[in-house]
Amino acid sequence: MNTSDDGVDSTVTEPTVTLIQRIRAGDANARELLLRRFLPLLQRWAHGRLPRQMRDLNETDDLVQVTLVKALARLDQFESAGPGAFLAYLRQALLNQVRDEIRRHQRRPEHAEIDVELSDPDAPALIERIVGSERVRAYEQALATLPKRQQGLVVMRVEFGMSYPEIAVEVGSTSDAVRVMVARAIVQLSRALGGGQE
Amino acid sequence: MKPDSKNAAELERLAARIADDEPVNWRTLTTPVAGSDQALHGLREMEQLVQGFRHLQLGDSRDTPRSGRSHFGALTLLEPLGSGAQGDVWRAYDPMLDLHVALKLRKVESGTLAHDFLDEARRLARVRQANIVSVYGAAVNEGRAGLWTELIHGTSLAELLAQDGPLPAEEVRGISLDLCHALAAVHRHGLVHGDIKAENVMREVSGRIVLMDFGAVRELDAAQAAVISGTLHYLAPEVLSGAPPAPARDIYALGVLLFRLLSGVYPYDVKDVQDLLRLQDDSKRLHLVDLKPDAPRDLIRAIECAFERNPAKRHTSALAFATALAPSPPQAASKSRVTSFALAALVCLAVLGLALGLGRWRGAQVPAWQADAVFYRVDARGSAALTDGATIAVGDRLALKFRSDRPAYVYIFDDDGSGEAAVLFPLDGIDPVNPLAANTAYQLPGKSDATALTWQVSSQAEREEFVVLAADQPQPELERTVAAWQRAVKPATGASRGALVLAPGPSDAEIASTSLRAVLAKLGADTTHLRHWRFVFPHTSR
Repeated sequence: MNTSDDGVDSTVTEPTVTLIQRIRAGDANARELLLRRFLPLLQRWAHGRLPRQMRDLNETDDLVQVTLVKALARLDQFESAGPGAFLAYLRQALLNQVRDEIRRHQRRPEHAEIDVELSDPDAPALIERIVGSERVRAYEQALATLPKRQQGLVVMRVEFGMSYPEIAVEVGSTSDAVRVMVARAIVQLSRALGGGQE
Repeated sequence: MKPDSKNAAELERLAARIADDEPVNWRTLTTPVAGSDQALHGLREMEQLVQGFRHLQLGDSRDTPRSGRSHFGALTLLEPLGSGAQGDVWRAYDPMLDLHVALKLRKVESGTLAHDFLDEARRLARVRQANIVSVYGAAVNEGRAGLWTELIHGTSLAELLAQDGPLPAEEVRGISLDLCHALAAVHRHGLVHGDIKAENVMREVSGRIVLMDFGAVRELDAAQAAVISGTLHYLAPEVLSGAPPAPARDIYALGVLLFRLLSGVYPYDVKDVQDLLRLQDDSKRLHLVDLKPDAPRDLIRAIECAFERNPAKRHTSALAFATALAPSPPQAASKSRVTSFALAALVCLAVLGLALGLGRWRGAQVPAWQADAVFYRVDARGSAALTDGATIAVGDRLALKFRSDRPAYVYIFDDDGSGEAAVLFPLDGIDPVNPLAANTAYQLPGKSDATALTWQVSSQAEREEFVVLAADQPQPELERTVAAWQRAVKPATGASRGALVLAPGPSDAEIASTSLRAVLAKLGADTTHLRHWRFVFPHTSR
C-alpha cells in the first residue's frame, strides 16, 4: 500500500480525468486507484456534514462508500466540466445522499431515552455547529454561483483540505499557479457571499 | 498600479491567507481595499468557514493516532487550552463521540478531592439547556479525575470586551435573555452557578451564548453557608455576610455582568473585600443613565434592578428578569407597539412587593385601579393565603381569590420555566367567564356544574411560577392566542408533566413559555388598562 496516513494518496501523479478515462476503458486497476484516492477524503468530509445523530462512524463510512461506488457505476453519465469537476460531482452526490438520509432518520422513531439529544432530528451537522447553519447555507448558495472549475478549486482546498501540489495534479498545473487560482476563486465566492448579506 | 488592480491584488492576498489558514488582521487593513466592502464582508465570512472546515479536517486525527500523545482513558489529549484553580483544560479527541471535547483534568495540587471534582460533572449533567455547556462524561483515570464537555469555538465575553469595548444595547439584550434562560434552568435544578462573570460566558462563532465553568456551583439546600467563592466585582453583598447560596446571588452577578457589557465598567469600584464590605448603600455606584444615556431605559432598569443591594428588591427569578428584558417590537411598524420601559418597570414593581397599581405609579394621568389577586391553599379545614415564595407540595389544591373595582378580563398562566407554560384560566365549560364583574370576590378557577374547582399540584418540580393578568378592556389578541393554545393541546398532556392539573376533571393547556413571554411583552404597551402579578412557589417534599 502506498497510501499515507493523511487521507490522500501521496503517490498521486495522475489527474482524476485520466483515471476516469482508464476506468471507462475497462481498467479495474484505475477504478481501485480512484476509490482509494477519494474514499478517505470523502469520508472525512462527510463526518463534518452529517447531523449529530448520524455520525456513527460505520454508518457514515458506509454511506460514502455506497455513494462512491454508485457514482463510479454511472461514470458514463458524468460529463467532465474541467479538472476538479469529478470531486465536486461526488461531493454533490454525497450531499444529496446525506439529505435523503436525514429525511429517513426523521421518520425513524427515537431510540433509548438517553439518546434524546443525539437523536434530535434538528441537531445540526458539525460544520453547522461550528460556524452556524445560516453561514453554511449562504456559503452553499454562493458556491453554486461560481463556474464549475472554481467550485472545484474551492471545494478541494477549503472543504477537503487538499494541499496545493495535490490540487495541481488534479488540474494539471503548478502549485504556485493553483494558489493564485484558489485565491481568485475565494475572492469571487466572497463577493457572492458579501452580496447576499447586504 | 491602478487603484482597481491594487484592490484586486490586495483582496487576493487576503484570500490566499484565508485559504492557507493564516491569521488576517482586519483592523489594520488600509485604504487600498476601500470600496470593496462587499468582498471584504464575504472574506470575513469565508475566514470563519475555512476555520470551521479546517477544524473538521484536524478532527479526523482518529485515523492517525500519533505516537507520544497523552491519553485520558479513551480520550487523546491534543493541546492545552488553559489552566484554572481547580484544573487544566485540554482540547481532546473523543473517538466514541467522534468529537473534539474540552477535557478538564483536576490538578493534583489543587486540594480538591476527586469526589468533589466529579460532583461538578454530576451537577452540570443534570442541567440540559442550549445556553449551558453540555457535559459528555467524567471519570477517574490512573488516579486523575477528569470531566469532558463540549468544546466551544468562540470568544469569552471578557475577550470580546477587551477587543471591541462595550457592546451595543441590543446585543446586550440578546445575550442577557440567553443567560437568563440558562440561569433559570440552573435554578430549576436547585443549583446556584455561583461564578457568573464575563470570563465564564462564551460567544460561539455561530453566535450561541454559552454559560461555562460550573466549578463554583452550589446546591440550594446546602446545609452550611458556602465558602465565599466567585469574583469580587460580581459578589452579592449577602454572600459576604454568609447568606446561604440562593438564585438572587446569580441574578446580582448577571446584573453586574450586563452593566459591564453595556458600559465597559463595573457598577462599584472595589479593590478588595474590605471595599466591598464598606459598600452599604447605592450612593457610591455608577449609573447606566450617566454612562450610556442613549441605551433603552427598559434595558437600563432591568439591569439595575438585578443588582440591588437588597436581594428582596432584585428580580424574583431569572425568568422574571427575562420578562423585564424582553425586547419590544420595532417601533414604526407594529400597531401594538410595546412600551417596554413600562413592562420592565412593572416587573420591578412586582418584585418590590409594592401593592401599588400601575395607575398610581404613573401619577395623576391615570385613575388608580384597585385589584387584588391572592393565591390560597385549600384543604378540608378551609383555605390559607400563600405569600410569594411560600412552599407547596404534590397534592396541594390551590385557588386564586380575585377582586377588582372595575370589570376585568383575567388570564392566569403557570410558567414553570421548563419551556412550557399552561393556561390555567379562562377554561372552556367553567364558570365564571371573562369579564369578571366589578366589586365581586371570585375564587378561581371557578365552578363546573356547581362543583367548586381548584388546581391540584400533580407531580414534583422545583417550583411553580404563576402569572396573573387583568385587563379592564377586552384583549382580543390574547383571547385568540389563549384559544389557539387550548385547541392545540390534547387533555392528557397536562397530567404528565410536573405542573398543575385541574382537579377534578380536565386539564390545562400547554404553551411555549416563550410565546407567553412574547404575548406579555406585547401587552406591556397597554399599561393603563393592565394589571400583572407574578407568584413563585417552590416545591417541598412534604
